[in-house]
Amino acid sequence: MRRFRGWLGDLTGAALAFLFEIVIVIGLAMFALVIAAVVTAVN
Amino acid sequence: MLIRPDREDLRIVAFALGRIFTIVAVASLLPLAWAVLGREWHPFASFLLMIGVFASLGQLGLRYRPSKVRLDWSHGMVVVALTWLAVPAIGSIPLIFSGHYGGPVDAMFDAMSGLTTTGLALVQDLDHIAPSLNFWRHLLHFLGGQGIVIAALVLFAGGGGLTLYYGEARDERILPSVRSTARFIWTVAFVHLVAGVTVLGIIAHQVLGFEWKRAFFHALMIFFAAFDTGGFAPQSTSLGYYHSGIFEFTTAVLMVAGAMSFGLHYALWRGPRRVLFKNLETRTILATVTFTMVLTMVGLGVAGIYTSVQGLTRQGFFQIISAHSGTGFSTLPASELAMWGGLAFGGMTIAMALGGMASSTAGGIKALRIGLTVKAITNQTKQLLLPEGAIVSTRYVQSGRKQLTPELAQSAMTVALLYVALYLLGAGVALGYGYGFQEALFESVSAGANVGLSVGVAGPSMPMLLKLTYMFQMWAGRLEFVAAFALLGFVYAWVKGK
Repeated sequence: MRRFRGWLGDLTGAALAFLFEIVIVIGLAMFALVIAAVVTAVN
Repeated sequence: MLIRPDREDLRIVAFALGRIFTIVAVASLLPLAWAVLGREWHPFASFLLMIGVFASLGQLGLRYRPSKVRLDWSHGMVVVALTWLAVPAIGSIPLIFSGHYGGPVDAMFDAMSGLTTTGLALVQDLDHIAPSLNFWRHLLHFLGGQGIVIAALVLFAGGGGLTLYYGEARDERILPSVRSTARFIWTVAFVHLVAGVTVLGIIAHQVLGFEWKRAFFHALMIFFAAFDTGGFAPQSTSLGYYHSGIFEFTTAVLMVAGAMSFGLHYALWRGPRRVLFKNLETRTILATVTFTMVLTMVGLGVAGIYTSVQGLTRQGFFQIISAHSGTGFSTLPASELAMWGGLAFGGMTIAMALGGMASSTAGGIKALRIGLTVKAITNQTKQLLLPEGAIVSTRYVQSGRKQLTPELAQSAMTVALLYVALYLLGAGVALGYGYGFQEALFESVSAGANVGLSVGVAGPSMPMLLKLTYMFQMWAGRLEFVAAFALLGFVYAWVKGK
């Protein structure tokens, strides 16, 4: 039972890690989009 | 007085190398099997030769069993430094016989670039290389990125693991034992391998229209190079070959995952998660990515290279993530990247020089050292400005609350300075051969920080001394100097010691 809970915990952790990585990349892409929009508008 | 290493020291080093070579020989069975499945008999023969050399040297080393197997610091560092020289040398055998390289030095350059997860390449006609050889090039990224020595730690419980672990430029031990830490690192890699290859394979099949076998071949190669922040690609046009936004996005996620420290992975997997954004390194890398992205994109905007918002976002975003994570994938040809002058050039070079997080697969100075240096300077300034006797907090969060001691700050600054010297070394040699300042600096930083982006200097026709300089930069940069200095000291003591 303890081992199963350990596996389940790791699985949840891995899913959270993927979510974190995806959110970071989306955040940076959005930031890049904002800079690009501002730079293009100023130009 | 220098003490000359005795026979027992040599036996300890030889025995540890024997274990590592045996592991690499076993790992090399994978490209051999790939060659058999693909009926590529010419590469098969050269893989067989390479495995024979690894296995023979492994068995030879294992014959010199020392009276104590436990390695001390100097042995461990020497073993790591020698491993990272010997594996590319022997690992270049299949590349030498492939007919895709100008000579043994070019082949070893690629093997060194692969193992150190750099990504600069001297291969010729990459688009027609045998798939098993392409697989071997990318597998070198995986072996180097995850740490071949760490693989040995998982399989052999032998003493002295800690020194090997630190020798391979891993700064923090996540779990109480080095072996369990090594096992966690490989678990994270395999979970990402399964998820990454599945998603990339499905995209390659469904969106790009590749047949399943080809889709998963490309997915596997790109995974190895992205998660291990390597930068080799199965096609000569790197990520530009796929012309797909969703493919680039997924690759960017893997690059970010690879540049994250395994300590951060551990915090995400097993907690405590609430300290994630208090972590000094997380804050530092978010600040430096933001800074270099602004610099690069404003530079590109001013230069007017990309006129649409979409084009500017896609090129600027991908190239900066690739540079800062130390991967080296590009969606542009080297000639177009060479046109990125001014601020864009500055942003990209700074991003490459800084690199990813400590204890990740990325190279460069590392966010932790930048964070510690900035904190030390800030504390000093505060101390000067505040009234006498005021106490400035020297604590920071990095896998728990820690104290920033003067020794720690000095160590971070010393390594950062050594990286700057390493970058200048390669740039100086290239300048001596008549390359322009911008391209000389860009390529040198790319080699020293194990990135792999190129503006066209690194190629089969570049001067021999420059090839050797870049190889040294890749090696020293990947080992973060300590193991490299230990090897030099060991050799010096052997020659001059008594």
